[in-house]
Amino acid sequence: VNLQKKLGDARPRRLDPTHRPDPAVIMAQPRQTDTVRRPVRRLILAGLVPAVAMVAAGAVFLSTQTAPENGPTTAHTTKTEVPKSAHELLLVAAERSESGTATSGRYWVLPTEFGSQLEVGPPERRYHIMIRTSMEMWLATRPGDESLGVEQNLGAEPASPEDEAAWRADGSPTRWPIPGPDGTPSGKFYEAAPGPKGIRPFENHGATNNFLLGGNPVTLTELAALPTDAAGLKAWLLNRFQQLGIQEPRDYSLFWNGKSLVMDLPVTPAVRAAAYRMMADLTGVTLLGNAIDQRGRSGMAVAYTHDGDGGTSEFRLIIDPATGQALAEETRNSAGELARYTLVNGMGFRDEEPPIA
Amino acid sequence: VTDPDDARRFTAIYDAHHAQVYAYAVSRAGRQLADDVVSDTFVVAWRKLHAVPEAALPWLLGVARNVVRERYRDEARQASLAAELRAWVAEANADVADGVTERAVVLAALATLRDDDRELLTLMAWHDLSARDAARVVGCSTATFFVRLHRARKRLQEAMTGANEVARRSRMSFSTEEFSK
Repeated sequence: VNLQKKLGDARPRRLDPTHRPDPAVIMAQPRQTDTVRRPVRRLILAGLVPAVAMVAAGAVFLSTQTAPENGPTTAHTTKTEVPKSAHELLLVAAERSESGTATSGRYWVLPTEFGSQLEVGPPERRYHIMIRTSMEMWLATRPGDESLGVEQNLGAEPASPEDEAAWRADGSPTRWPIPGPDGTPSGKFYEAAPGPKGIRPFENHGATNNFLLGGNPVTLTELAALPTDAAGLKAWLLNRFQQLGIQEPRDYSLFWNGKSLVMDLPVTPAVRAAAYRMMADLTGVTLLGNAIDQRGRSGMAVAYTHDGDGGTSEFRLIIDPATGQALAEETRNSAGELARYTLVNGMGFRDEEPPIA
Repeated sequence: VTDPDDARRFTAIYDAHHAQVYAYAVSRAGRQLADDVVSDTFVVAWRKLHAVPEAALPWLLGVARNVVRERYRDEARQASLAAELRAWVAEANADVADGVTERAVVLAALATLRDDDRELLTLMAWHDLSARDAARVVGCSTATFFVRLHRARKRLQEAMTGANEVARRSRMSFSTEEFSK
């Protein structure tokens, strides 16, 4: 009994969290029935959780229908002065994204790419690889249609020059074993070489639950009715958080949902512009300056940095100031390493038949 | 289809237990991995919300336990945990200007125990579980739990006898800076 008390008294303060992540992020995860999920797939996706989860849940992407399919968007140099703060950049993005037309269609199609850093290698010399996946999402907008994704493993490589050195020391493997549930090899591998395209139905996902905002699904009709001014949009989101019992950290929740509006969701240019304006006035958002996304496209980045365990982590949004398009989101860990990213490569409504499995 | 009641219930569970799941994750896998363990655990809870019992904590910790086992290679977890255990001793020692605290002795002794012993001991002492709930988390009967707990306590007591010295040495060799990252 005395021992039990001593033990209780010795409880380390490090067991107490220093922050409370927004549960809305978790509720943005897919809720498919789990029985069909294969364990190996689960392991692969473990590192990709936020991004891929958003995919299946059908949170969406980028800006206007006029988005170029490929290539750098830096060609548009403008006469405007270079933004000097996150506030200015987001206001510029708001202005630029006001042009463009919103339409409707049978599917909201979003070509996306995800990357996730994983630790591999021998126990004494672990190193990081970046695994990349492309996913073209076909998100149904009509009742009866099911959403799906055209998925492709884009391969994996050492994450940094240091990791590359460790990879060479590891014998330059072209694949890495995926551990099974008990830590022993599962017989499956992360492949360095890209794989074939495949079609993945997003089971039980369609018009009613494709799109998530403020932690809950929204329909296209609801998205179309969103306020087109920053204050109204902010009030709408805060009201939604309150209904869900989400209280803090408020600015982070607003930033996160603003990000979805400018990058993920099929909303009108006016709503997108309102989202940028709302984000411009949030505390904690800083300008990082010029940035290049994982596809080599240049833009400017703003960051929301939040204190977590083991230091701070940074959530970065890369925007093309010339078009107002959100190009990519990136998460960096406390070591400053790129832990995850999602990028979007044009998006829009389409009426045609989706690809067939 | 997500209904608002689900979202409310999930948020309530999250609010009530986030800190406890985090504490368990830190004690099993170290702070380095804890955030991921917690988020994975709650993702499972969100997916299987209808299976989460009214008394959610033992269920959640059981899920977290599986997440820790399934998600990480053993070496990765052990490395993170080893750093964590050292940090506990260093933190406890940093509490007083000089000398070794009682807390540091207990924590240093705890660090020398086997993983499963440490888990049994801390489930009740740190995570506010009854013996019955703790047994549920580790998946054994309450009777078996008590037997194992008794043995674990004995080993902790033995380790504490030798831990004074360990704690002193730890104080010399670990700077607090190392753990403040």
